[in-house]
Amino acid sequence: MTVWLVRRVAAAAATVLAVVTLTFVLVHAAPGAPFLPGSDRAADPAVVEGLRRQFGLDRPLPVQYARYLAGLATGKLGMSFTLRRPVADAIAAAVPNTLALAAAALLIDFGLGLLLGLYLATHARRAGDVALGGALLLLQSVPTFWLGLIVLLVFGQWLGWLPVGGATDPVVYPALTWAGKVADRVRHLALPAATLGLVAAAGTARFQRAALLEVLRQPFVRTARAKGVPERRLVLAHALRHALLPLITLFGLSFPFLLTGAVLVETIFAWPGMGKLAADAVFLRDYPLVTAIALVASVMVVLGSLLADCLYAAADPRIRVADG
Amino acid sequence: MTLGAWLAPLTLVVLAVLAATVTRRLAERRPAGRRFFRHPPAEAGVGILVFFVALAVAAPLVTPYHPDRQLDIVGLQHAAPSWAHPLGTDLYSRDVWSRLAFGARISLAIGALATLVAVTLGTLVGVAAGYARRLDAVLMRLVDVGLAMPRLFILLVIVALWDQLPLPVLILAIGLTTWFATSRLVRAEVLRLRELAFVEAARAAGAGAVRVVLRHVLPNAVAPVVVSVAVGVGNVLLLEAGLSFLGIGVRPPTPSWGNMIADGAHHVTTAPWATVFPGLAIALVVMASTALGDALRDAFDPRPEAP
Repeated sequence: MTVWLVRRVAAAAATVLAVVTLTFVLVHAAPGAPFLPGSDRAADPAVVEGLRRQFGLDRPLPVQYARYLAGLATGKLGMSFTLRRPVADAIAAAVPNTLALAAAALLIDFGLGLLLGLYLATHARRAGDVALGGALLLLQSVPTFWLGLIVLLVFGQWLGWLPVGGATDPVVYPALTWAGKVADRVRHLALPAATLGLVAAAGTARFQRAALLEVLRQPFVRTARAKGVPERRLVLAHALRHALLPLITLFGLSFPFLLTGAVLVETIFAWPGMGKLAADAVFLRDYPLVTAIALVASVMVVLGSLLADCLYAAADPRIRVADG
Repeated sequence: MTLGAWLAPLTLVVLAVLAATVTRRLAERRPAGRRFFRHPPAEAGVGILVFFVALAVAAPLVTPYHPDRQLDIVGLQHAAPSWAHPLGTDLYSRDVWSRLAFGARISLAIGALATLVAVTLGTLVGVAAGYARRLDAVLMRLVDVGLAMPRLFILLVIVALWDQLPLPVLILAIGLTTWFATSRLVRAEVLRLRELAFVEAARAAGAGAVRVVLRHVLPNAVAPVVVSVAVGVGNVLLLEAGLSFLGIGVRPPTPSWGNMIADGAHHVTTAPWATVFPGLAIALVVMASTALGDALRDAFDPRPEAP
């Protein structure tokens, strides 16, 4: 188990390094450069040259790459070109917001997805399954950012129930009490988290239905039924345990989806997280920030699948990996 | 819009329903077809795809206006859906229905071509990894990296930094970043097949690796390939929409469903129709693609389904 874990972590680290290298090469190979005069303003060539030297951009690419890796090894992510502050600070400010959004979305995803999947599987092929299944299929197919716009239109504009942008109320937030601050954050979190969570929950529910139906036709379920186990107990105590295993894989795979969705959903709801930071960084050609975000994003994805693997091994003794 | 112009889209709907019904009749003569249509959404999926493909092909015939024509920038800006403009008009007074029809051409073409690139590459890598064991470890580590990279983000980097990417390059970029899952599915299938007796027999009869793969392994590994195509089109459509929404996909004024949503997004509160309908079109095609993927998976899998 330890050997397996060490290997797995080493492979994960190699993956992250590969993603960082790819991003590094991509941003530097692209035409255009930071600090160049844009269409709207002209810059003094001497100033541009000074800035390029200050950030080490005048050196050959392999040297820049080596310096970047050396920085990474000592935990330095460099200075952001556009924000004029350490990249690590900008990311540290954004990550908690994205994690809060992702956690809330995950909660909706698996909480709601599990319940709906149970309903679908226990009513398989009946009217409720077909109707709800069709609705969920459509919901799963909707572009997340489009759902975000619709949700914003309906709940923010027409009904006016919830705030439509930002993480906190800019006016009253500083004056709120501790409990008031939490409530304000939850109110702001509600719409983006629901947008992201509902689309994912639809997929989870359909997946859970299939997994549960697969288990329900196995011989041990028939045996239990023949022995007189009530249907309710049969599903909840006997079958569900087995049907939860594939869900762990889905959990590991949901990280990339959440990150991708976050880029778009955060843009719509002006949520100050990594997604918005990423979109801004790319458009402004902020090389260090772009590379660092790729680093953090791939670390999150890799950690997600690593976590899923560990959960899997912990949950199912049959697939515990042998040492060696 | 005249009566004739209204009849055209109705004809498409009738065509779609007819096509779905006939397909079902013909398919249900065989067990695989029955398994396919046992999924309630499968028939709807076929109908939806036929409708949108026909709409894309016949776009100039079923639309009353040119998609880029600004009809009346003062009087028809953000006009609500009406008899003359069934889906309303957008900020520049362009007819949303006409743009939706021509947008189907761009969006579906991107979906089909990028999926073609992705599935071809994924199949090649999958077969190579599954059959040539020496390549397996290297290729699968590569796939691990591919699956771990934040795809939309990498595409964002590529497309935003290389400004003004021509459409074929965009399609290629999407295709080159979406083949990883396919290669894993194909590899698993090839790993299973290569141990079977008929492959061994072919090898014993003196067939070389290329011949074994092309004549014996690949034809039996169509299931994951076909399913990947069905599901892939939907995924690519969502990616294109996301990129266009960020303003870096298909360039205006050429309509794609993604950039139509992007155009309408800033005015979603005053003119929701400019945003709602293209999004609905994407959702329907993605839904059809997922439904067909599910149904195909069952059609290829001859086990009886749970009660």
